[in-house]
Amino acid sequence: MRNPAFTAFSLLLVFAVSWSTLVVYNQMTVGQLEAVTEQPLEAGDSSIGHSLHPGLPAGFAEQGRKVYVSMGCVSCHTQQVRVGGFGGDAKRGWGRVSVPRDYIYEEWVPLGNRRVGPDLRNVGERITDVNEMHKHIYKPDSAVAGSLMPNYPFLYEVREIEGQESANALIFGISKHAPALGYEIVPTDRADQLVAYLMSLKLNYSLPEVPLQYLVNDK
Amino acid sequence: MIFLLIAAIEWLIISGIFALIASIKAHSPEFIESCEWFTYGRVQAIAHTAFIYGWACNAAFAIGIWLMLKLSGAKGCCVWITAVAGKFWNLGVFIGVVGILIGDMTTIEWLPIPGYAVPLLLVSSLAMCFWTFMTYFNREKDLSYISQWYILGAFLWFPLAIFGAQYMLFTDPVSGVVQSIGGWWYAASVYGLWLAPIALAAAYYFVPQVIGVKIFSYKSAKVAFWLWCFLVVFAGMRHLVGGPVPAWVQTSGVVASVMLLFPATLVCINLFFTSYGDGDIDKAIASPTVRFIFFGLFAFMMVTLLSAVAAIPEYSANIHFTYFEDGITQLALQGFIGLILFGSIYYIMPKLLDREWPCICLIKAHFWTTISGLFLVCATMFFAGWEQGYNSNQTAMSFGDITSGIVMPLRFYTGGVFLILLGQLAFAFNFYKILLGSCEGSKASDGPTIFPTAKSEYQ
Repeated sequence: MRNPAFTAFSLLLVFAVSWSTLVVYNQMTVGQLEAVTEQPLEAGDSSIGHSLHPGLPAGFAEQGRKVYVSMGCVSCHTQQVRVGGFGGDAKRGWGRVSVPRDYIYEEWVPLGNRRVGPDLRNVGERITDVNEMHKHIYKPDSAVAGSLMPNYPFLYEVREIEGQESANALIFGISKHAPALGYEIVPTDRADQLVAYLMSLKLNYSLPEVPLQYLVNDK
Repeated sequence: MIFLLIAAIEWLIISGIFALIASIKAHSPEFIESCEWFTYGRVQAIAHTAFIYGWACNAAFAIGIWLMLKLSGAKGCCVWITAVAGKFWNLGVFIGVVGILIGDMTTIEWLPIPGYAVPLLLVSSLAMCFWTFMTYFNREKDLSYISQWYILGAFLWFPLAIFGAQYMLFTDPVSGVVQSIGGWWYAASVYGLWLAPIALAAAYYFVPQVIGVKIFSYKSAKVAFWLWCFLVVFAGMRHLVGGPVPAWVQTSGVVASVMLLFPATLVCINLFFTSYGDGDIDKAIASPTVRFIFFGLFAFMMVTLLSAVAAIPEYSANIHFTYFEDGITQLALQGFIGLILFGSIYYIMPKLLDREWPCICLIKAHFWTTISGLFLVCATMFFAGWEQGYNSNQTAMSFGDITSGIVMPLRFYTGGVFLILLGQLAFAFNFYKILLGSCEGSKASDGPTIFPTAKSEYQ
């Protein structure tokens, strides 16, 4: 190493090049995105009276996002809908393509890197029944026969029915997963929060860069 | 150094056990279902964390320190710095793993540990970096070996990567998808600027050392070094192809992944001609060190090739998000990095303790179970991933049917993981035997450990 100073500089340059371009530059551009109205405003118009998207996270759903992260759901599910023609996202009706602005309010962005299960970015539009969503988390096999998704019984409480069945008890019908006679399965707070979060996952708003009418399977 | 290797092996076994549990849960969701600590997402993250930060990093520190001392001709001033740093490192990893167990994890695949564990890792890696540069600049030999380039780079870039992660993820968090870009910047830095350089430094030292030759081409080794380190972090962006990130980020990932083939090929050709030059190839085959390193280099070439293919958008559309990517990751970590670390430890332990490995049969058991387990793991992951990807892009099958259809490959995957764990246990058992000086092992030979049938030809 004939010139230690030059070598040290070169080694630091390796770090600096990737850090400044991939992290710093992107934070200065994509990282400064803000919520906007669905349609671009005319010059001079105020955004007052218009709803901004994406919306700020609601309290119960926001707590559910923390449950989602703590359970490691990102290890099997993505939350990014790819553009039409790139994979089967559009063919499966997973919603409009995801764009960077969709994630600006997320503390831990669950883009994910694996789809053992389906993409969840728009799952609130596909599963609208709260009981079905709870069953899917408690024992996924009860909602989708043969599902390999892990069971989360520790997010639920099996208890004896006292008097009347609880209003939020899970309804199974005739199923091997139904509780024994005289017992009910009731979600804990964390299960309710997680379901609230999943039901809130909806790509049901337009953005200037990707209007809702942009049907991804047009490509 | 011994402390680092003991810690490395203990974390190796822990990661193997958690990997086995995760692999069983992948096809049997009712397995340990009642315990929240063992939910799939956390078990998978712990297996990954324990392997990278527990086993690979500890072993990489130890091997990097040993190589730097050897190549510098230094007597080892202030080695206590590395011992203290090693203890802080393992404390940080332990806190991180416990944090994942209790649910304080992140969504960053290569840094799922909570933010309160990261400063410990940063401080210890900085201390290791300080000691490495101090030892290099106090060296007694004038020459600079190619391995030293890799080690200096690795020990400098690793704390920078951890500092970058600490700053952009925890201290002053970046916004939205920049977090995902930063997460893959960090992952590519840990793999390409820390673990891979240490593994390549070991290969560049041990292969010529065992065979008794010099590196075939020092110049091409330098070219490969600089090309690799400038490209590898951008190659990490291939994991974001098709995602909600700027197009130029995705394109840089594709281009860099393909261009990485050039330095990877240069490295492999260089070591191939080094081995098949004037050296004693029979001695190489008889050395467990070179056997492990040769297979590690083969895995390195395969990983680089498969990553390049997986980056190309036409293939990424099918392969991305499937078990195929897991296969590439396992080949990179268990194959490339893991095998070279094993080979290095087989060389340096007799030198450190002045004692030969007591049980050659355990070395052979370790080698064959690891190679066959790795083959099974990768073959099943590539097959399952291809099936997943193809069926996901049609609409005929529901996702439930797609995953039901790959249950059998997932069961074979568990078999592969079990074989690898057996190999790890054989290695650990042999390691403790040489450490405790049992079996009346013979004094270390001047050269590397050689399998006995070959040894008789050399005596």
